[in-house]
Amino acid sequence: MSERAASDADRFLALLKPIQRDLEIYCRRLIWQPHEAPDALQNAVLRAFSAFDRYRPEASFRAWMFKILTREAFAMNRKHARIARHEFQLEPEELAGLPLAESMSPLSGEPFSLGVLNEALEPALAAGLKTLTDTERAVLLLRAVAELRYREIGESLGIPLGSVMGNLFRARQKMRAFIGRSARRTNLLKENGL
Amino acid sequence: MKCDEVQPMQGAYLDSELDARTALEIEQHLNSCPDCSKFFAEEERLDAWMKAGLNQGAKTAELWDYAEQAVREAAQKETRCSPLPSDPLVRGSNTRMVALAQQWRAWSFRLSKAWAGLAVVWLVILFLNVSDRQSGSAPLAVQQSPSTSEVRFALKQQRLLMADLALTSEPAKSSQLQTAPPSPRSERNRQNLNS
Repeated sequence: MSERAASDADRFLALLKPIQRDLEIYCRRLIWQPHEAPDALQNAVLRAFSAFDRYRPEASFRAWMFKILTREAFAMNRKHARIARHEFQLEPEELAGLPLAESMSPLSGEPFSLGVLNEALEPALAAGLKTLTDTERAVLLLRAVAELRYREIGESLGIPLGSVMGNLFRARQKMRAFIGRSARRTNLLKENGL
Repeated sequence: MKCDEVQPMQGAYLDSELDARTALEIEQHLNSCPDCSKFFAEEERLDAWMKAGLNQGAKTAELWDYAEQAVREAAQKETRCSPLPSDPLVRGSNTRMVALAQQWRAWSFRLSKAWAGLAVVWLVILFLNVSDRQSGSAPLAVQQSPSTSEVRFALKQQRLLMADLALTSEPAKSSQLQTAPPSPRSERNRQNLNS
Protein backbone atom coordinates (compact mmCIF):
# COMPACT_ATOMS: atom_id res chain seq x y z
CA MET A 1 0.00 0.00 0.00
CA SER A 2 1.37 3.43 -0.93
CA GLU A 3 2.07 5.96 1.81
CA ARG A 4 -0.61 8.31 0.58
CA ALA A 5 -3.37 5.71 0.40
CA ALA A 6 -2.43 4.42 3.85
CA SER A 7 -2.50 7.94 5.26
CA ASP A 8 -5.94 8.59 3.67
CA ALA A 9 -7.30 5.37 5.17
CA ASP A 10 -5.86 6.24 8.59
CA ARG A 11 -7.28 9.76 8.48
CA PHE A 12 -10.71 8.50 7.36
CA LEU A 13 -10.86 5.81 10.06
CA ALA A 14 -9.73 8.27 12.73
CA LEU A 15 -12.62 10.59 11.83
CA LEU A 16 -15.04 7.67 11.67
CA LYS A 17 -14.20 6.10 15.04
CA PRO A 18 -15.90 8.64 17.35
CA ILE A 19 -19.21 8.45 15.46
CA GLN A 20 -19.38 4.69 14.86
CA ARG A 21 -21.90 4.08 17.63
CA ASP A 22 -24.20 6.94 16.58
CA LEU A 23 -24.06 5.79 12.96
CA GLU A 24 -24.99 2.26 13.91
CA ILE A 25 -27.88 3.31 16.16
CA TYR A 26 -29.15 5.72 13.52
CA CYS A 27 -28.96 3.07 10.81
CA ARG A 28 -30.74 0.43 12.88
CA ARG A 29 -33.55 2.91 13.67
CA LEU A 30 -33.88 4.19 10.12
CA ILE A 31 -33.79 0.99 8.13
CA TRP A 32 -36.94 -1.08 7.70
CA GLN A 33 -35.24 -4.47 7.70
CA PRO A 34 -33.01 -4.73 10.82
CA HIS A 35 -30.90 -7.55 9.33
CA GLU A 36 -29.87 -5.19 6.51
CA ALA A 37 -28.33 -2.59 8.83
CA PRO A 38 -24.79 -4.10 8.72
CA ASP A 39 -24.87 -4.13 4.90
CA ALA A 40 -26.11 -0.54 4.76
CA LEU A 41 -23.35 0.57 7.15
CA GLN A 42 -20.68 -1.31 5.26
CA ASN A 43 -21.81 0.15 1.92
CA ALA A 44 -22.01 3.67 3.35
CA VAL A 45 -18.51 3.44 4.86
CA LEU A 46 -16.96 2.22 1.59
CA ARG A 47 -18.87 4.78 -0.43
CA ALA A 48 -17.69 7.54 1.90
CA PHE A 49 -14.09 6.35 1.69
CA SER A 50 -14.18 6.26 -2.12
CA ALA A 51 -15.43 9.88 -2.08
CA PHE A 52 -13.09 10.95 0.71
CA ASP A 53 -10.86 12.96 -1.68
CA ARG A 54 -13.87 15.20 -2.34
CA TYR A 55 -14.56 15.75 1.36
CA ARG A 56 -13.67 19.30 2.44
CA PRO A 57 -11.98 19.38 5.86
CA GLU A 58 -13.81 22.60 6.83
CA ALA A 59 -17.17 20.76 6.55
CA SER A 60 -18.57 18.60 9.35
CA PHE A 61 -17.45 15.00 8.83
CA ARG A 62 -20.31 13.88 11.07
CA ALA A 63 -22.95 15.57 8.90
CA TRP A 64 -21.26 14.33 5.69
CA MET A 65 -21.18 10.74 6.94
CA PHE A 66 -24.80 10.79 8.13
CA LYS A 67 -25.86 12.15 4.75
CA ILE A 68 -24.22 9.21 2.93
CA LEU A 69 -25.69 6.69 5.36
CA THR A 70 -29.18 8.21 5.02
CA ARG A 71 -29.04 7.78 1.23
CA GLU A 72 -27.89 4.20 1.61
CA ALA A 73 -30.66 3.39 4.09
CA PHE A 74 -33.31 5.07 1.93
CA ALA A 75 -32.12 3.06 -1.08
CA MET A 76 -32.48 -0.16 0.90
CA ASN A 77 -35.88 0.89 2.23
CA ARG A 78 -37.10 1.53 -1.30
CA LYS A 79 -36.32 -2.07 -2.13
CA HIS A 80 -38.73 -3.14 0.58
CA ALA A 81 -41.39 -0.51 -0.08
CA ARG A 82 -44.14 -3.10 -0.04
CA ILE A 83 -43.13 -4.40 3.37
CA ALA A 84 -42.69 -0.84 4.60
CA ARG A 85 -46.21 0.07 3.55
CA HIS A 86 -47.50 -2.97 5.39
CA GLU A 87 -45.60 -1.99 8.55
CA PHE A 88 -46.78 1.59 8.28
CA GLN A 89 -50.34 0.38 8.69
CA LEU A 90 -49.62 -0.77 12.24
CA GLU A 91 -52.29 0.82 14.42
CA PRO A 92 -51.67 2.05 17.98
CA GLU A 93 -54.26 -0.43 19.22
CA GLU A 94 -51.99 -3.21 18.06
CA LEU A 95 -49.63 -2.25 20.86
CA ALA A 96 -51.65 -4.48 23.14
CA GLY A 97 -49.92 -7.37 21.45
CA LEU A 98 -46.47 -6.04 22.28
CA PRO A 99 -44.55 -7.46 25.25
CA LEU A 100 -44.63 -4.05 26.95
CA ALA A 101 -47.64 -4.66 29.18
CA GLU A 102 -46.34 -7.96 30.47
CA SER A 103 -42.87 -6.63 31.16
CA MET A 104 -44.25 -3.64 33.02
CA SER A 105 -46.66 -5.31 35.38
CA PRO A 106 -44.17 -6.62 37.95
CA LEU A 107 -42.54 -3.18 38.17
CA SER A 108 -45.70 -1.15 38.63
CA GLY A 109 -45.62 1.11 41.63
CA GLU A 110 -41.84 1.28 41.85
CA PRO A 111 -39.69 4.22 40.77
CA PHE A 112 -37.75 3.37 37.60
CA SER A 113 -34.34 4.42 36.46
CA LEU A 114 -34.10 5.96 32.99
CA GLY A 115 -32.38 2.81 31.76
CA VAL A 116 -35.18 0.54 32.93
CA LEU A 117 -37.72 2.98 31.52
CA ASN A 118 -36.02 3.00 28.12
CA GLU A 119 -35.63 -0.73 28.06
CA ALA A 120 -39.26 -1.21 28.94
CA LEU A 121 -40.54 1.25 26.37
CA GLU A 122 -38.13 0.24 23.60
CA PRO A 123 -40.81 -1.76 21.73
CA ALA A 124 -43.10 1.27 21.91
CA LEU A 125 -40.36 3.49 20.49
CA ALA A 126 -39.64 1.06 17.69
CA ALA A 127 -43.33 0.74 16.86
CA GLY A 128 -43.80 4.51 17.10
CA LEU A 129 -41.01 5.08 14.57
CA LYS A 130 -42.82 2.85 12.14
CA THR A 131 -45.80 5.22 12.13
CA LEU A 132 -43.60 7.99 10.68
CA THR A 133 -42.88 8.62 7.03
CA ASP A 134 -39.30 8.10 5.82
CA THR A 135 -38.54 11.84 5.90
CA GLU A 136 -40.14 12.39 9.32
CA ARG A 137 -38.18 9.47 10.75
CA ALA A 138 -34.90 10.63 9.22
CA VAL A 139 -35.40 14.20 10.45
CA LEU A 140 -36.27 13.01 13.97
CA LEU A 141 -33.29 10.64 14.14
CA LEU A 142 -30.84 13.11 12.60
CA ARG A 143 -31.82 15.52 15.37
CA ALA A 144 -32.10 13.07 18.28
CA VAL A 145 -29.26 10.65 17.45
CA ALA A 146 -26.91 12.50 15.11
CA GLU A 147 -27.57 15.83 16.91
CA LEU A 148 -27.32 17.76 13.65
CA ARG A 149 -28.48 21.36 13.36
CA TYR A 150 -31.62 22.03 11.32
CA ARG A 151 -29.50 23.48 8.49
CA GLU A 152 -27.34 20.32 8.38
CA ILE A 153 -30.44 18.11 8.40
CA GLY A 154 -31.82 20.08 5.45
CA GLU A 155 -28.55 19.64 3.55
CA SER A 156 -28.41 15.93 4.34
CA LEU A 157 -31.91 15.27 3.06
CA GLY A 158 -31.97 17.94 0.35
CA ILE A 159 -35.02 19.72 1.80
CA PRO A 160 -35.53 23.38 2.84
CA LEU A 161 -35.31 24.55 6.45
CA GLY A 162 -39.08 25.04 6.69
CA SER A 163 -39.64 21.40 5.72
CA VAL A 164 -37.15 20.28 8.36
CA MET A 165 -39.09 22.16 11.05
CA GLY A 166 -42.43 20.91 9.75
CA ASN A 167 -41.34 17.28 9.56
CA LEU A 168 -39.70 17.40 12.97
CA PHE A 169 -42.78 18.95 14.54
CA ARG A 170 -45.07 16.28 13.06
CA ALA A 171 -42.67 13.46 13.96
CA ARG A 172 -42.47 14.58 17.59
CA GLN A 173 -46.22 15.00 17.83
CA LYS A 174 -46.82 11.48 16.46
CA MET A 175 -44.18 9.92 18.69
CA ARG A 176 -45.44 11.67 21.81
CA ALA A 177 -49.01 10.66 21.06
CA PHE A 178 -48.03 7.08 20.31
CA ILE A 179 -45.74 6.63 23.28
CA GLY A 180 -48.07 8.54 25.56
CA ARG A 181 -50.96 6.22 24.75
CA SER A 182 -48.95 3.06 25.19
CA ALA A 183 -47.18 4.21 28.34
CA ARG A 184 -50.26 5.57 30.06
CA ARG A 185 -51.85 2.16 29.79
CA THR A 186 -49.22 0.96 32.18
CA ASN A 187 -49.07 4.18 34.29
CA LEU A 188 -45.38 4.25 33.46
CA LEU A 189 -45.04 7.91 32.55
CA LYS A 190 -47.24 9.10 35.41
CA GLU A 191 -45.11 7.27 37.95
CA ASN A 192 -42.02 8.87 36.48
CA GLY A 193 -43.40 12.37 36.55
CA LEU A 194 -44.00 12.53 32.80
CA MET B 1 -47.37 36.28 21.20
CA LYS B 2 -50.39 34.07 21.78
CA CYS B 3 -50.46 30.51 23.12
CA ASP B 4 -51.40 29.00 19.72
CA GLU B 5 -48.45 30.79 18.13
CA VAL B 6 -45.95 29.77 20.80
CA GLN B 7 -46.77 26.08 21.15
CA PRO B 8 -45.88 24.97 17.57
CA MET B 9 -42.46 26.54 18.04
CA GLN B 10 -41.73 24.53 21.16
CA GLY B 11 -39.38 22.08 19.38
CA ALA B 12 -37.34 24.74 17.60
CA TYR B 13 -37.19 26.79 20.83
CA LEU B 14 -35.86 23.85 22.85
CA ASP B 15 -33.38 23.02 20.06
CA SER B 16 -32.11 26.64 20.16
CA GLU B 17 -32.87 26.99 16.46
CA LEU B 18 -34.92 30.19 16.66
CA ASP B 19 -33.56 33.67 16.09
CA ALA B 20 -32.81 35.70 19.21
CA ARG B 21 -35.85 37.97 18.90
CA THR B 22 -38.39 35.12 18.57
CA ALA B 23 -36.71 33.17 21.37
CA LEU B 24 -36.98 36.24 23.63
CA GLU B 25 -40.66 36.71 22.77
CA ILE B 26 -41.37 33.06 23.62
CA GLU B 27 -39.45 33.37 26.86
CA GLN B 28 -41.48 36.45 27.83
CA HIS B 29 -44.69 34.60 27.01
CA LEU B 30 -43.65 31.59 29.10
CA ASN B 31 -42.94 33.88 32.06
CA SER B 32 -46.45 35.26 31.88
CA CYS B 33 -48.39 32.10 30.88
CA PRO B 34 -48.39 29.21 33.40
CA ASP B 35 -50.25 26.87 31.02
CA CYS B 36 -47.68 27.23 28.25
CA SER B 37 -44.86 27.09 30.75
CA LYS B 38 -46.21 23.77 32.08
CA PHE B 39 -46.75 22.46 28.53
CA PHE B 40 -43.18 23.35 27.54
CA ALA B 41 -41.72 21.71 30.68
CA GLU B 42 -43.66 18.48 30.08
CA GLU B 43 -42.75 18.35 26.42
CA GLU B 44 -39.11 19.00 27.23
CA ARG B 45 -39.02 16.08 29.68
CA LEU B 46 -40.77 13.82 27.19
CA ASP B 47 -38.37 14.85 24.41
CA ALA B 48 -35.37 14.23 26.65
CA TRP B 49 -36.69 10.81 27.51
CA MET B 50 -37.47 10.01 23.87
CA LYS B 51 -34.01 11.14 22.84
CA ALA B 52 -32.39 8.98 25.49
CA GLY B 53 -34.56 6.06 24.39
CA LEU B 54 -33.65 6.48 20.73
CA ASN B 55 -29.97 6.64 21.65
CA GLN B 56 -30.02 3.33 23.50
CA GLY B 57 -27.61 0.75 22.17
CA ALA B 58 -23.96 -0.04 21.71
CA LYS B 59 -21.82 -0.42 18.65
CA THR B 60 -21.06 -3.89 17.32
CA ALA B 61 -17.29 -4.28 17.49
CA GLU B 62 -17.14 -7.04 14.86
CA LEU B 63 -19.09 -4.97 12.37
CA TRP B 64 -16.72 -2.01 12.66
CA ASP B 65 -13.61 -4.20 12.61
CA TYR B 66 -14.89 -5.64 9.36
CA ALA B 67 -15.63 -2.16 8.00
CA GLU B 68 -12.12 -0.99 8.92
CA GLN B 69 -10.61 -3.99 7.17
CA ALA B 70 -12.74 -3.29 4.08
CA VAL B 71 -11.51 0.33 3.99
CA ARG B 72 -7.87 -0.79 4.20
CA GLU B 73 -8.42 -3.33 1.44
CA ALA B 74 -10.07 -0.66 -0.73
CA ALA B 75 -7.06 1.63 -0.16
CA GLN B 76 -4.71 -1.20 -1.13
CA LYS B 77 -6.72 -1.97 -4.27
CA GLU B 78 -6.65 1.69 -5.25
CA THR B 79 -2.85 1.71 -4.96
CA ARG B 80 -2.56 -1.39 -7.12
CA CYS B 81 -4.79 0.15 -9.79
CA SER B 82 -2.83 3.39 -10.09
CA PRO B 83 0.61 2.95 -11.74
CA LEU B 84 1.75 6.48 -11.01
CA PRO B 85 0.27 7.74 -7.71
CA SER B 86 2.10 11.04 -8.02
CA ASP B 87 0.32 11.84 -11.28
CA PRO B 88 -2.50 14.32 -10.55
CA LEU B 89 -4.72 12.60 -13.13
CA VAL B 90 -4.72 9.34 -11.24
CA ARG B 91 -4.19 10.69 -7.70
CA GLY B 92 -7.90 10.56 -6.83
CA SER B 93 -9.55 7.43 -5.60
CA ASN B 94 -11.92 7.37 -8.55
CA THR B 95 -11.22 3.98 -10.04
CA ARG B 96 -12.85 4.89 -13.36
CA MET B 97 -10.40 7.75 -13.85
CA VAL B 98 -7.53 5.48 -12.91
CA ALA B 99 -8.61 2.90 -15.50
CA LEU B 100 -8.97 5.57 -18.20
CA ALA B 101 -5.51 6.95 -17.43
CA GLN B 102 -4.06 3.46 -17.66
CA GLN B 103 -5.73 2.83 -21.02
CA TRP B 104 -4.42 6.13 -22.40
CA ARG B 105 -0.88 5.39 -21.29
CA ALA B 106 -0.91 1.90 -22.82
CA TRP B 107 -2.36 3.18 -26.11
CA SER B 108 0.07 6.09 -26.42
CA PHE B 109 3.01 3.77 -25.63
CA ARG B 110 1.96 1.27 -28.33
CA LEU B 111 1.82 4.02 -30.98
CA SER B 112 5.08 5.72 -29.99
CA LYS B 113 6.84 4.76 -33.28
CA ALA B 114 3.97 6.14 -35.34
CA TRP B 115 4.11 9.43 -33.38
CA ALA B 116 7.90 9.63 -34.00
CA GLY B 117 7.48 9.01 -37.78
CA LEU B 118 4.80 11.70 -38.00
CA ALA B 119 7.06 14.17 -36.22
CA VAL B 120 9.92 13.46 -38.66
CA VAL B 121 7.62 14.06 -41.66
CA TRP B 122 6.55 17.40 -40.22
CA LEU B 123 10.16 18.41 -39.63
CA VAL B 124 11.10 17.59 -43.26
CA ILE B 125 8.17 19.64 -44.59
CA LEU B 126 9.16 22.58 -42.38
CA PHE B 127 12.82 22.39 -43.49
CA LEU B 128 11.89 22.30 -47.20
CA ASN B 129 9.61 25.29 -46.81
CA VAL B 130 12.28 27.39 -45.09
CA SER B 131 15.06 26.46 -47.57
CA ASP B 132 12.79 27.28 -50.54
CA ARG B 133 12.22 30.80 -49.19
CA GLN B 134 15.95 31.40 -48.81
CA SER B 135 16.89 30.16 -52.37
CA GLY B 136 16.52 33.62 -54.20
CA SER B 137 12.98 33.78 -55.37
CA ALA B 138 12.33 36.60 -52.97
CA PRO B 139 14.63 39.28 -54.72
CA LEU B 140 12.96 38.43 -58.02
CA ALA B 141 9.62 39.16 -56.54
CA VAL B 142 10.94 42.45 -55.17
CA GLN B 143 12.24 43.40 -58.64
CA GLN B 144 8.92 42.66 -60.26
CA SER B 145 7.09 45.00 -58.00
CA PRO B 146 9.04 48.31 -57.54
CA SER B 147 8.34 50.44 -54.54
CA THR B 148 6.34 53.68 -54.67
CA SER B 149 9.37 55.91 -54.14
CA GLU B 150 11.18 54.27 -57.06
CA VAL B 151 8.16 54.85 -59.34
CA ARG B 152 8.00 58.51 -58.27
CA PHE B 153 11.74 58.95 -58.93
CA ALA B 154 11.43 57.44 -62.43
CA LEU B 155 8.45 59.64 -63.30
CA LYS B 156 10.30 62.74 -62.09
CA GLN B 157 13.28 61.87 -64.29
CA GLN B 158 11.06 61.35 -67.33
CA ARG B 159 9.39 64.74 -66.70
CA LEU B 160 12.80 66.49 -66.57
CA LEU B 161 13.93 64.75 -69.75
CA MET B 162 10.81 65.90 -71.58
CA ALA B 163 11.38 69.46 -70.36
CA ASP B 164 15.02 69.40 -71.68
CA LEU B 165 13.83 68.06 -75.03
CA ALA B 166 11.25 70.85 -75.31
CA LEU B 167 13.89 73.54 -74.60
CA THR B 168 16.46 72.19 -77.06
CA SER B 169 13.97 71.77 -80.01
CA GLU B 170 12.93 75.57 -80.25
CA PRO B 171 16.09 77.72 -79.53
CA ALA B 172 15.73 80.30 -82.48
CA LYS B 173 12.15 81.20 -81.79
CA SER B 174 12.87 81.92 -78.25
CA SER B 175 15.89 84.22 -79.07
CA GLN B 176 13.87 86.16 -81.69
CA LEU B 177 11.21 86.89 -79.22
CA GLN B 178 13.77 88.23 -76.79
CA THR B 179 15.58 90.59 -79.34
CA ALA B 180 12.50 92.08 -81.08
CA PRO B 181 9.61 92.62 -78.78
CA PRO B 182 6.36 93.70 -80.50
CA SER B 183 5.87 97.48 -80.68
CA PRO B 184 2.71 99.03 -79.23
CA ARG B 185 -0.12 99.99 -81.62
CA SER B 186 0.29 103.82 -81.11
CA GLU B 187 3.94 103.65 -82.13
CA ARG B 188 3.09 101.59 -85.22
CA ASN B 189 0.42 104.07 -86.19
CA ARG B 190 2.89 107.01 -85.82
CA GLN B 191 5.41 105.18 -87.94
CA ASN B 192 2.74 104.64 -90.58
CA LEU B 193 1.85 108.33 -90.54
CA ASN B 194 5.48 109.38 -90.79
CA SER B 195 6.05 107.06 -93.70
